[in-house]
Amino acid sequence: MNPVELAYQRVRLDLEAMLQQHDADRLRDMLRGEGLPAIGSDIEPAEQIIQALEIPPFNANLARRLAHMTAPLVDEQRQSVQQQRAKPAASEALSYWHDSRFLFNLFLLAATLPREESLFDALNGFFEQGHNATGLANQGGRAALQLRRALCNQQTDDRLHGYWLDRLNDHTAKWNSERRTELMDAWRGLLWLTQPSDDNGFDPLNHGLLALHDTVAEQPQGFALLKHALHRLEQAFPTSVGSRGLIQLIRPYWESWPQLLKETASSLWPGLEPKPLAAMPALPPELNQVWQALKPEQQRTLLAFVSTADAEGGRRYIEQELSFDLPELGLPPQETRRRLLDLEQRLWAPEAGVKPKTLESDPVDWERGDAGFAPRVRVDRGAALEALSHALAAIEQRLARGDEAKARRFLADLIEQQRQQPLPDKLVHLAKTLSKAAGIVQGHGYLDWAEQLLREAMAANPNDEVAASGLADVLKAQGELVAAEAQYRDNIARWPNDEVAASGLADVLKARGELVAAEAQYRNNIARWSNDEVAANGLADVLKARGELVAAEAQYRDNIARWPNDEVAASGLADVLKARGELVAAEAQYRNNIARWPNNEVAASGLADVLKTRGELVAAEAQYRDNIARWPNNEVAASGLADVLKTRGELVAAEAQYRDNIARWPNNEVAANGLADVLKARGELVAAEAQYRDNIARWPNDEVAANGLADVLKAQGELVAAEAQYRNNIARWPNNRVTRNGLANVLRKQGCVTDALHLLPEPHMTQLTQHDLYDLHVRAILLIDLGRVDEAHNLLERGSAIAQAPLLQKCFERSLIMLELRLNNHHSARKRLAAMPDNVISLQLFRLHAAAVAAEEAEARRLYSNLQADLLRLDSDSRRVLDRIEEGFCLMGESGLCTPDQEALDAIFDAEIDMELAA
Amino acid sequence: MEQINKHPYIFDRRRHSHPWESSLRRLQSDNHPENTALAQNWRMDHRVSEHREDELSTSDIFPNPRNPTTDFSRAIRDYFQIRLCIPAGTDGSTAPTYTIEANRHNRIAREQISPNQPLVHMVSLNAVLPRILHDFDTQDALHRLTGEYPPEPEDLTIAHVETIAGTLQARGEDAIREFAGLLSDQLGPTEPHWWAAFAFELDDYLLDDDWTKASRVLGLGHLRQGQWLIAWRYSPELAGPLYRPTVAEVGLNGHHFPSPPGENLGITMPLEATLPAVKEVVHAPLKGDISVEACMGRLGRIAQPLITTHTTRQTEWLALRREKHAAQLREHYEQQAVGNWLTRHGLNR
Repeated sequence: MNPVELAYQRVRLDLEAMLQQHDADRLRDMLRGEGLPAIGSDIEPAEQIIQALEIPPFNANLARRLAHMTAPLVDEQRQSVQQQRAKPAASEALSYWHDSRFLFNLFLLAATLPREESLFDALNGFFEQGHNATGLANQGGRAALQLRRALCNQQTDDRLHGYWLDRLNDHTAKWNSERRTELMDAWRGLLWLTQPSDDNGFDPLNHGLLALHDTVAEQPQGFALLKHALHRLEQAFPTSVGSRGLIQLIRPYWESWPQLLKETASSLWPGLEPKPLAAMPALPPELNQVWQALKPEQQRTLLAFVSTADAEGGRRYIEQELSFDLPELGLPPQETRRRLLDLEQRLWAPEAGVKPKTLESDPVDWERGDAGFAPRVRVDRGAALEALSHALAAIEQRLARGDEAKARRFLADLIEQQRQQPLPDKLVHLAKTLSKAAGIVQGHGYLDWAEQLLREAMAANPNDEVAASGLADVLKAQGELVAAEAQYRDNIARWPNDEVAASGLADVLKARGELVAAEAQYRNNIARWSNDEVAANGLADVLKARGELVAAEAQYRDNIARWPNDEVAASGLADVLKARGELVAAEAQYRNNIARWPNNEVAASGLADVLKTRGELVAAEAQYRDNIARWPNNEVAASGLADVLKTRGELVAAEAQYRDNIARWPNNEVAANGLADVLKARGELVAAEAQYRDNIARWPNDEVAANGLADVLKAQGELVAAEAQYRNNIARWPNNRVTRNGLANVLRKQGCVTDALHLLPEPHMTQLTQHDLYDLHVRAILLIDLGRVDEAHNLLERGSAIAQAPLLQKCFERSLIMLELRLNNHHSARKRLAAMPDNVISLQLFRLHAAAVAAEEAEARRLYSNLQADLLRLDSDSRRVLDRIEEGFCLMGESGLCTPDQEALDAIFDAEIDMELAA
Repeated sequence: MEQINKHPYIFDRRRHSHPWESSLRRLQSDNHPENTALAQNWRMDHRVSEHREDELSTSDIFPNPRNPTTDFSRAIRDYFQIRLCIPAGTDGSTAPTYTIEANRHNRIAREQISPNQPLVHMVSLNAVLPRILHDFDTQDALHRLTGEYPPEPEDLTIAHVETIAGTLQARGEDAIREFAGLLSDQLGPTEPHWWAAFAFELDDYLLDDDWTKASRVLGLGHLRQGQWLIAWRYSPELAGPLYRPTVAEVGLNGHHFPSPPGENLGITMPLEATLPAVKEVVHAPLKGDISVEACMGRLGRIAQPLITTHTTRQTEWLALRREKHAAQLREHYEQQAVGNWLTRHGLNR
């Protein structure tokens, strides 16, 4: 035994003693290099420990116990990182390097030991909380890299599945060698997680491969990376010679892989691809007829015998199988059988010189036939694919630069080249290229062009399922929902097992608003493909869209239980909780989603939205600003920020934010309307009208702008014009309740309250939707105006009891306060107000109104001067209420309050009703 | 030293002369077909590096200029016993030679095989029982497990093994696992390395208790009909370092066939052409609790003849099987290097 081996022996004995004594401190010291032999400067402490573990006899128990002992050390690091983060930055500087080296060694050891649940928990805990620890990033981030590998190797459950997939899916990461390493690590993370031999065990790997393909396909070295990934797949799950086991496992998936991935796989495992017809000898017409009449699987089997030169097997197959399952030639069975035997002789001539008689007549065929047996010309498919991939990348680059003309020329050249290729299956490949190009141009918004390419692809290969699917998808994207539906139905009829088409059909039905049909289709898809995650989510989505929020929530929860890493379901659940008004639960779910998928922009946006809805406007604003900082291009967050500013009454800031959003996203309809809204709120009614008119001119189908215009006309007192605009809107969007409510209000203002009430008949159903409740609310207000206060009170009480969404509940409560003020019942009104927040303008106005009615001058003046100070935050409706109260109760002067006459009271109530109806 | 003309390869390296040539040639021309195959394997196994060859040459076991006539099959057996099954480890003795630096290139990278691709190892009770029965404690433990004292090793018959296996099976999984632990303990540090294949490829053949097909797939031609087998199923992470096997680890089993160049695992030569050749590795035996835990808790029997031959004489069967296997390798790998290697060693299509 040499000195180095002896040194490792000593380390091994040391480890055994340490484990015997449960001496974790000793392990910590060892990982810091203390007490280890000086074997070499480039051998890390963890490497020495690993070497010592591996010297014979290998003892798996020892390794397991070491894994168990390593867990608390990792956990300790997590805590230490947490503490460090809490301290000021300067105090951290000292131990960076040592931390980094220790962490590296700790994770290196963890990566090598057998899997241990407590160790994985500890690593995961560190990963979640300490991923930005300074020690990880030092020395080229080697500790971070090692942490990733330790996480991968130690996985005892699938909680990281979403993370690996997320890394594979990230299209925004900079393309460099670190990224490529990360991709390969993430791929191994999935490989190490899966047991492909289980039922559907290959599904996660299939998702991972497709994600990897989409990320790398157009990148330099993308082909090599895919090849490497597939190679690792084979290494991770070694199977029999020729990888037959693996081939069997992946063939069903392989069939639908994108071309580059598919071809890369078949270049590694030729057995995946059915032997091409090129391996067949040319056949005389009589035998060709026999060949064509065979079923595809029979052709494939025969070709397998031909390509392996297994004459014996081939003859046996023809004589024992095909002779009893004769092809349909329209000939007597005996004649058909004779021709089959001729085919057999043609394929496997028994002896040289004995030529089958059917072929003697045509010696030319023989020569051609022999040529057919010559070794196949091997095309370097890998190189060809890489070239194709680069050509498509060049086209994409041109499109990205806006150089459509050059992109079109490049594509035309590429297609021409493919048409000229001397391959027997060139049309098949051409169709695939066209489909792929269609995907690219579609990605750049050229939907018509994509449609044209896909139609060409289908002409080149009418059996190209991908092109047919793509065409349906592009039609859907073009908004040609009827055509898309027809295409999907056509695809389903042709390829009844096409899950994508079935999903697409359901999606298009959903998009057409045929929610019942969509639901049926989704349910149908789920019944057929019980593991169809997309359909299960689609169903949940459609239930949500139908307002079946309880069912939707149940479906999302069910999906999450089945696919715990399903981000879409988790997001959907949060959304549905938000829609149900379960804002606390929604907030928790969003926060949970953000913790699990830190890059989930939608969850971050959802959280901000829910905070906004809960009225936590400061927190919402902070969350929106945070989102904007992380995703500077997040239009939704920018819009949300503007909205929350508007709601907070920060009208100047809101206007600035909307203008900023419009400048950045000139096509942002929401921002344009938001700007008009904020102008209206600021009382800049002329500017608001102009903005709405501008918006209507740009987006003639914009319901919000059309209603906004009507609202602003009403606010300007142009009641006739406003009524006309509302009526116009109702004609176009008969189901728009906001318009109907607006019209009702304008009619009310014109004194036609009864007409207005006709627009809003009292709903008698037991189950009321949100919209029904809004109608109910407006009707109650009209009844207040008519003086039918008892009816109004009943409606408001009823609505308040049913409404679940907090916003709606507040509407009813405010209206009850308004009613009580109208009835001069200021005690009751103030009691209600006492339980409500004191930072909401409308409530402050009601408080002012109540205090003035109660002749509590000091309180009234305090509220008045606060509102004056907040004047900038008051929208025009609120300001009008303040003005009317100020006039009615003589708040301008300082010589006591006056009692308003009936006209002044009516003006106050009118303004309050406007304010409520605008809320 | 003899000039080499007719069979110029040892470990797939062409030689002008070699101290083993004469002995190897005698082994090859032996009438016993397994010896011929054995010699062929030592000639063609490219997996044995020059360093490993040096280690073999300097072991004083194989023919050398001082003992040029050493019997090669005896040398193989001695090497297996002395250099692979000797006590090894913390007492300062030499480690099994497949784990030494000279065989490093056959080590399978730690991060190559998924921990979720379990391995299966099988052992013949008929072969292993005689090795442990000399010990009183073992006899006592077997009495406890089966209710009967086993015979002395030299008196052990197939019928005894039948009885022991039958009783263990009747007592259930725990008894079988306990027996696995007993085997492991009693074989102790002299237990040879384990040969293991991947469960994914064997599970289908282990569904009932007739393990004939599994044995055929694994190429266990040295076993016989009627023998009983015990098996372990475990994650590769518990096996420690995995190695691609070479002829040096095979011992006297002529049913081995080296895996081709470029293949970084071993490949079995199934005993029947219709069965797939599967990948295999060698590693240190599982010991202690892990051996008990990983035992499948079932026994299987080789219920049918392992080798069935109708058309050829038994003596020719192995040569034909090797040729067919070579043809299969050639076809499946579709690589020039594999074709050339087989051609070099006379295994033309």
